[in-house]
Order: sequence, then structure tokens, then C-alpha cells
Amino acid sequence: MDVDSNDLSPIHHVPPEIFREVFKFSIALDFREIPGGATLHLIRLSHVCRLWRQVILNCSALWSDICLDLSSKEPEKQAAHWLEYGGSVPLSIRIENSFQFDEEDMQVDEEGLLLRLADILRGTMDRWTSFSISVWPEQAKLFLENCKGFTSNLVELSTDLINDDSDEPLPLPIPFNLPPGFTPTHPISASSRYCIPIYGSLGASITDLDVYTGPGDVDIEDYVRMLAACPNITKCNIEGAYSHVISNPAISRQISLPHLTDLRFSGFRNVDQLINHLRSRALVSLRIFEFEWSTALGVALGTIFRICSQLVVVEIVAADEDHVEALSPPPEGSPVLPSLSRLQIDAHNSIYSLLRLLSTPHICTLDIGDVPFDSVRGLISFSTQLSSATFRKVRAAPQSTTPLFNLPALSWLTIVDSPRLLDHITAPQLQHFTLNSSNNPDGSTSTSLRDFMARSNPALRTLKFIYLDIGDDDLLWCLGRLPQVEILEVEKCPVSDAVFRALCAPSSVEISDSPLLPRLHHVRFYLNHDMTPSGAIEFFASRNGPLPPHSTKRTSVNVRGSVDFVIKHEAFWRDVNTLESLGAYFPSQTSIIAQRREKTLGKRGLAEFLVGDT
Amino acid sequence: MVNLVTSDNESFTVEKAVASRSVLIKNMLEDVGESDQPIPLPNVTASVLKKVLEYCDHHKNEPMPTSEDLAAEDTRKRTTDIGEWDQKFIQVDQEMLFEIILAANYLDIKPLLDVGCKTVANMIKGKTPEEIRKLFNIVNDFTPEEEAQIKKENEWAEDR
Repeated sequence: MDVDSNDLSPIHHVPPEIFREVFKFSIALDFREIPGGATLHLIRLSHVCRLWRQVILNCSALWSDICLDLSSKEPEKQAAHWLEYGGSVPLSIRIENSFQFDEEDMQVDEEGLLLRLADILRGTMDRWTSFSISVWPEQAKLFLENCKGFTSNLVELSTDLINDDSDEPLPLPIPFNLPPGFTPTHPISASSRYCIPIYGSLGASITDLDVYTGPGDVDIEDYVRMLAACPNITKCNIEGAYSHVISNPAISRQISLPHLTDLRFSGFRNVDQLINHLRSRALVSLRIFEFEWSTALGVALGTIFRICSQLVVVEIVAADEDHVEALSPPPEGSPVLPSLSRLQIDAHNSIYSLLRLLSTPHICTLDIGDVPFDSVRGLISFSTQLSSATFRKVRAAPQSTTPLFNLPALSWLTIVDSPRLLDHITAPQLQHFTLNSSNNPDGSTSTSLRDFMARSNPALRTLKFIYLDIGDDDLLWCLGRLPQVEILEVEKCPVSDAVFRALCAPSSVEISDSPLLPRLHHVRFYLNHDMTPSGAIEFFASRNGPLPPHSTKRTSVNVRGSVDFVIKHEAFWRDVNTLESLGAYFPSQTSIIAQRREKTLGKRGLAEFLVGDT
Repeated sequence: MVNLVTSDNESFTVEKAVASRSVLIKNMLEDVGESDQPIPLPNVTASVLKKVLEYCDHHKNEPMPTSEDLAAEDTRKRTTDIGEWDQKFIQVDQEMLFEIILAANYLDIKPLLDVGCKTVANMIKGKTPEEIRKLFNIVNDFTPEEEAQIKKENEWAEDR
């Protein structure tokens, strides 16, 4: 590099190896996001001066990532350029179509382009470590048909096709193979969108498979061919868009996937078709979402539960649609899942009998909904390790004065629309309890709640009551037994300012006494009918205001949180303004202390206060 | 404490933890052992060393990059992001920037070298060859044959 005679800039003393570092940074992420961006940038840099050109052209590592945009000018020449300078480095190949011209517009010369591109790249396939193609289906098909070969160094493979969400997924043969006798050394992660990839012998190296088929119907034959080519997968995620699986009585083959541990299906209405063609005894995690319940699915799940004794996690959540009626299949023995730790299931009558028989002796986390009581009974009867349980809409719990379930390890419990379940549970280690009963067909909650609290005597830290038919007496009775509570949420319950008053810090005379719930630091009171801003003012002021005279130490912590009121009349706004001024009671806080948000709905409305740094 | 002497004969006494951010100095200290002897740095001037030591002092409590870190660093994982403090630190004139890069290279302070290289990479981002030449006062020194090749490359590289 020549320099001006009077130029002593230290850039002229920078050795080539430092420029090489600069250029490596220069083509880092920013440019990789733009198809061909790194190519263009490197070429521009190579036109600055001879030294830069020599550094760039002689550093093969700079040319290891090839990104080719079919809609750019002469991508095949770009490919040749990259390959020339890349020498023999491992290659990462990305082929894209950034303008996404419709495939019907594909011209004859574009077909020629794809063929030429395949010709150029084919000779380098054994150096590919990553291959990604994101083009129209016919373009992908044409390219891949002409790019067959051995890809023994591949670790990432993506066929992410362009689609307008209307077509059925194309079965896409991917003719990448392993040399005969080659022992796979690298596990391959493969993904695809809008197609069903049919892998060549390379499929034996695929351990992680992620497929999105799009909204079109899936032909079971394609699905079976895809999985048959990947006998060693350990993780498999297959997603549709609430698609149908087209069954075919002629395809009865079951694919054995002996290493598959994690299986997830989402978005297939008749997902039982996909499950039934698999045989995977090693399953540890089974997740099924967005499907329609059916008798066939009940049978399929029963088979899995009986075969896959190593299951640790099961999550089964159907689509949020009207449930289709289905018959409960006849029971076939009692499945035992000794390793199952987590079970989440939105149940359906097609598996009630299965749940009744299922035994999960080591379950830790249970989240179950829409089930009759007798389907729950078996799951928790002997669950001494159950630490977290959510019960939603557990129906037909019998009236009982004798609790059936002693849950010694339970620390989190959420009960939604199933208050009578309280009569059957004893949970002495409970720390976090949510009771939500927006729809309570069983009548009053008060007795069940008091009995549960008295029986369990838990040291609760979090208590949330939502939509309960309990008044001040019941709530204060509970709080009086729960001095450890730190978080309290009460929503849409018929409670009044009496609760605020009871929670106030003691006055100066009795400052040495602790208030009710001395550890309380966060509250949420939401639209409780008889709570008013003046009650909230008294409460927050007593808990957060200046210490009373002659006292040196507060016996409770500051309380923050939110209160929402239904505004009933104009006079409320005066209190609203007063409540806002509570910020002064947080002298050390610089953040927003009391923030008022109101949504006026005519003369009535909601006012919400966030007190403290919530 | 460690005593460092620059090319313009200025002396800097710094904590060992600060000086040891330089792999060169760290190795010298390990080789020589405890000694009061000053360490000469003939390739670094006082003004540049002062700046380099400011960087080393700020980062003295951070873990040194391991050989595994360096081996794992390929072009794919690189980013041109620079931390907030480092960005302010490296806001210097062009001459000082390249002096810091050269000193970081000589003293073997990889994180500082990376900050310098990333800064230069950011400076040339999106610029044409002519703009880069102007920025760094570089002369276009291509031979006629190279010019012809460049013209050919330009035909498909620039018209995109």
C-alpha cells in the first residue's frame, strides 16, 4: 500500500493479520441478515487497495459462508467467486429468494440458473456444514433433484419453503446421503417449513427434527416416509395449523424410533393418526397441543401410557373449540408411569376411564381440567411427592366430611371452579394458594374454605381469592390464621373497607404490636364491591407513612400493589386525588410512587392505582 | 505493583492485576518472578500506554478469555457490538485508534484488540471503496490488471 509521503497515520503500520480480524468482524451478523450482503461488502473492501485485496482474497475463512439470493444478479457467479476464494474451508450454504417472486413467474432461464447453481455447488457437498434453502417449492425441488451427493459433514439442514398458506405440504426428497459404510459422527439438526422432507441416507444422522407443515392436509404416507428415514431422532416436533391428517388404510406401518425421547405434536385435528404410526418406547416427554379429542386419541394415549414407562412429562391441551363428543374406549389394564413428574391435561370423556386407571406415584406437578372427580382421585391418591397442583373444573366431587387426600408435599395449589374439592384435601405444607370460583355450581365456599384452613393449618405466603362468595368475616378469619402471608390478592369478592382497616398498621399507642399480616408487601385488590378509595388511603398510609412519634422501628414492611375500584359517584374522585398523593410516603423512592390510571366510562368507571414500584 | 517503561522513557507503576490483562506482560512476570526490575515496552508510547492501562484497569476484575473461548470464536459468532463503556473509551481520533490497536496486538490484549477492530469494522460499514480510501487516506495502488479484474467484479457485484 502506497502512502502519501507526509502521511504517518498508524493505519499504514497495521499488519495484515489485524486487517483480517477487522474484515471478519466486518462481515459479522449485520451483513448476514442481508442476502448476499457479506459478499458485496467483501468485494467492496477488496477494491480499496492492493493490501486489503490480498488480505481478503487470501483469507479463506472469510469465504466460508455462502449466501445466494436467487433474485440477485447472477448468483451462480457469486457462488463460483465464493468457492474460488474459499479454498477448501468448511462451507455454510444459504440459498434464498428475497423478492419471493411467485413460482409461476419462474422463467426458463431461472430454471437454468437453478441447474447451474446445483452444478457449481454439487462438487462441494462434502464440505457443507450447514445448508439452508428458502425458496418456492418448485424451485427447491428442481435444485435438490440436481444436487445429489454425500454430505458427511453436515450438522444443520433447513428447508424453509415459501408458501402462501394454502397448499398442501410438498413431499420434498432431499437427496443428501452418507457415503456407504460411513459411520455418522455428527448429529444433525434438521428443520423444514411448508414441506415434508424425505431425507436420503443422511437421515440416519438426524437427531433433532422440527417440521411445520402449514395449514394444508398431511398425507400419512408422506409422514411415515419422513420418519422412516430418520431412525435415530431423539427430539421431534411436528406442527400443523389445525390441519387434518389424511389417513390411508393401506399404510399400516409403524415406525420404530427407539431413541426418541422428546415428542411434540401441535395443530393436527386428528393427531391420533400421527401417534398411531409411531413406536417409541423411550419417550420421556410427550406434548400434544391444538387437536380435537376423539375416541381414537383416547386409545392412542392409552397405548403410549402403557408402553412408555419412562415418561417424565406429559402435556396434553386440546384446541379451544367445542369439544366433540366421543366414546370412552374400554379400559385395557392399568398403566403405571413411575417416572412421570409433570402431567398437564385438559381432559375429555374419551380418556376419563384411562385417567381413572392411571397410576403416577411420583408425580410432582399436576395441572388437570375438565374432569370428573373420580378421574382425579387415582392421580393424587398416592402422590406423596405432589408439590404443585392445579385443578380446573373438577366436577361431581361428593360431599364429604372426611378428606380423602393428604398431600404432605403440596406447596402450590390452584383450584378453579371446583371449591368442593377443598373438602377432600389436606395440605399442611401449602405456601401458595389460589382459589377461583367464578362459576360455583356447588354453592357456598365459606364452610369448605374454613374447614380446609383449619385442617391444613398452612403457613401460606401467597393467598389469592378470585370471584369467591366470601365476605369480610371469612376473609379476616383466614388472614388471622396466616401471619406469614406476603402477597395477598382479592378480586371481585363481596368484601369491604373492614379488610383495609384490619390490615392497617397499629397506631402510635400500640406500635410494638405487629399488624395483621406483618410480612405483607404486595397487594392487589381488584373491583371488590364494597372497598373504597378512602379505605385504601387509610391502609396504605398506615403501612407506608411516617413512623408514629416516639417509635424507632416499624413492625411491618412497606406494602405496594394496586387497587381498582368501580367509580360509583363523583365524590370518589376527591379520594382518588388523595390516594395519588400517597407517593409522599415513600421518601426514598425515586420511581413513580402513586400512579393513577382511570378509564372513565360515562359517569361510572374504573380507577386503578399502582402504589409503589409494582 | 509492576513498573512499565514506555518507548519515550516514561514510567508507569500499576497493580499487577491491571498489567496482567496483557498476556505479554503476564508471561514476562511469570517468567521473571517477583522482581523490582522495570519492564520495557519499546513499541508503546506513554500517551498510548496511559490509554491502554485505563482499559485494563476498568476490566481488571473480568475473567481472562480462555483458549477455549478463542478457539470457539469463529466468524459466525462474531458481532460488531461493543459495550457501552468500551464505546466511550474508544471514542478517540483515528491516529490514537490505530495506535491502541497496534499496542493491544503487541501487548496481546485480545479483548481490547477486538474493541479496536470492531470500531474500524463499524467505520467502514456501508462505505464505498472510494469513501474508505478518503476516510483513512489510502492511495488506490492497483495495477492495470487488477483494475480490469475489479471492473469485471463490479459488473455483477455493484449492480444489485
